[in-house]
Amino acid sequence: MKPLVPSTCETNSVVDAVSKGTRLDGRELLDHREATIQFGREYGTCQIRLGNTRALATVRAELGTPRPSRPNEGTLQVAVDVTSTAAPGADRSNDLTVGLERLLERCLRESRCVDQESLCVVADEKVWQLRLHVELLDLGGNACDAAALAALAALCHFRRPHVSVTGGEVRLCPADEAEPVPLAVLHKPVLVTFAFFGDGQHFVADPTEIEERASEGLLTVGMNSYREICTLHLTGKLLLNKQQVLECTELAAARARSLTSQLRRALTADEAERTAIHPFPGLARVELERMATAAASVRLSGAVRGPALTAEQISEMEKEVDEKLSVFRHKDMAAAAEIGQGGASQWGPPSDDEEGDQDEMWPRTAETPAKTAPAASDSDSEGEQTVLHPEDLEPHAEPGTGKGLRCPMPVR
Amino acid sequence: MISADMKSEEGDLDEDTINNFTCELGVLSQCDGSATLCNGLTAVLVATFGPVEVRQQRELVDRSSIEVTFRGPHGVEGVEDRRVEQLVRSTLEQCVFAALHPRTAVSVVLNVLETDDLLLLSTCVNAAVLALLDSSLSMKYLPAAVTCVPVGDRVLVNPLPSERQGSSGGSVTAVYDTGSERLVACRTAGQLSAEQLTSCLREARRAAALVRQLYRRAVAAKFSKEPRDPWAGPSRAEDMPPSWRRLGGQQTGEQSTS
Repeated sequence: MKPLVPSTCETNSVVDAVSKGTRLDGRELLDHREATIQFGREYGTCQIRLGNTRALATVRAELGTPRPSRPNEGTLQVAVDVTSTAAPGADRSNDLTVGLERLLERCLRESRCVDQESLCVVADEKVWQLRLHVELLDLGGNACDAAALAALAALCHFRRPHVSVTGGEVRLCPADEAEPVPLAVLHKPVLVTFAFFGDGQHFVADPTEIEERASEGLLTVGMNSYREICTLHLTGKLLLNKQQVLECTELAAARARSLTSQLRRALTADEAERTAIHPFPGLARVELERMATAAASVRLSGAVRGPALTAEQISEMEKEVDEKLSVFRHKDMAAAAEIGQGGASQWGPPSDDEEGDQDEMWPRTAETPAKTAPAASDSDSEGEQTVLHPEDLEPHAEPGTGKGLRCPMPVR
Repeated sequence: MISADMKSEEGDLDEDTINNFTCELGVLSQCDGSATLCNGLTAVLVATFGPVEVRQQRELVDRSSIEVTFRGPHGVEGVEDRRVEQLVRSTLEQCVFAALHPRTAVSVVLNVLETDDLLLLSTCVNAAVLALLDSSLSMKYLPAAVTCVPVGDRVLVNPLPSERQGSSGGSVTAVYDTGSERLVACRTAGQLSAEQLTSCLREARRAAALVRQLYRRAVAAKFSKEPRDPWAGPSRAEDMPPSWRRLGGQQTGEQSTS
């Protein structure tokens, strides 16, 4: 199917209107359309609608070998697809696809938006390879902005599986064993496009498809909310001076700030909805298992290092652990919020100010390794991030030795 | 055996048996007709262009050539995609009034947003019909597709994955002419006994009447006088596809004018 050829009177009317300060859809010259952000069921899928323009972005991750030139970094690959639904003959247009791929790579990968060093699992051997796939479902003008916002939202939304490295072996933990981990997004760059008319005298922000076709050239500015310019891209038969470029970057800064705050609100709302659906997040289940393991270890451990525990002490500790386990066993799912309201939280990073309890929470191997039953913590049902500690990556020892009773601490 | 003069029976089939059927017409701006249809966990977006110029090799002198393009959810093409295209094309070739537009093409593009594989075929056919309704292309009749799964001695119509426990894996996708209640196309998967096939086809025929009601509601919504904001998508929360939750941003969609 052939693409539609724009008529001369259409393009002339657009240019005339812009020179008089009006636009065909009634906006002011520098007004943007509202962006709608929708997240899908899986982590890392996002659909953006910017007026008539629709972009759908998906992020997938798999383990692979790193590039030889960068053995400590993961990779991010961008693929853009213009579907046949976007416009008649659009799927044959390679210019748009290739140009957009390159622009997104510059904006997201080369600006170090995602911390690629955090994607390294085992240096030189295993890294996370991210594949970002953007589909343009509808070309209603300004596909760059929509595609970039969709890609950014998908990257911020995506969670990769937790990885445990034991010895030389890398193991992917399933979602019910360990919560998936979000990507480390250092800054959030968005693209803002301006279309120029009349030898660069007039320009409009967020052009529609007919304004894009009628324009002499497009300036795309990539900015983040810290007013840092990540990308500058100029296309068409257009010559600009410094003043015009600076003016556009000022406008782009305001738009970038509002888009990033809108994205942040959308991510928070999505997270709240997800945890509302699952009142027992994976982390609480993990703690339950750890406590059960701890209780079993207390019973099994014969030779423990440090001062020998008397039988009364052991049975006391068993009772304590059982009590706390019973809280998880007997409470309803709906009452998850009540767990932990009995006392002050005993979870917290070890600090020099607090003694006593904290020392008991973090036993050195020479001391009392058996007393590590974690308190019924405030397992609130908000999905919190799991921070990897060096202890998490060490092999869990067999029950019966002292080390196995050190429970890694989830940070609240 | 299905006999031609079998009339539809009154039963307890109601709209709830067609789970989570939500659709919207006119979702895309650059094509002649478009529709989104969500059925359970399957969501399909269809765009139609037509009648448009046809390539030389596909040109038919006495009627329009129907071209169907199917894109699976992960973009990797395979033989299954061609099978879906073939079923949709053969259904549409019979129902579209192609003789009105000789030497042209009607192009139907199916884009799968998400799928659970069982309801994919029937959702594609129904979504294609909705998109053609949106583009106002003349049709002789409205086909409706339904998927039936026999579980035990019952027949489930358009079941969700959670409801399919205990089925032996067989399923029937049947396309019925909703006017004359005749079978247009039928595709089975898995193992079925003759009695199961018969009862599935019977249930599908009854359910096809409900799909026709869905078509009428969709077209009525398109032409209703309620103000529909073109930027905002489905106007009612219950029309939203279950997995695409609307979050973030100003949802009023008012264009920012001073």
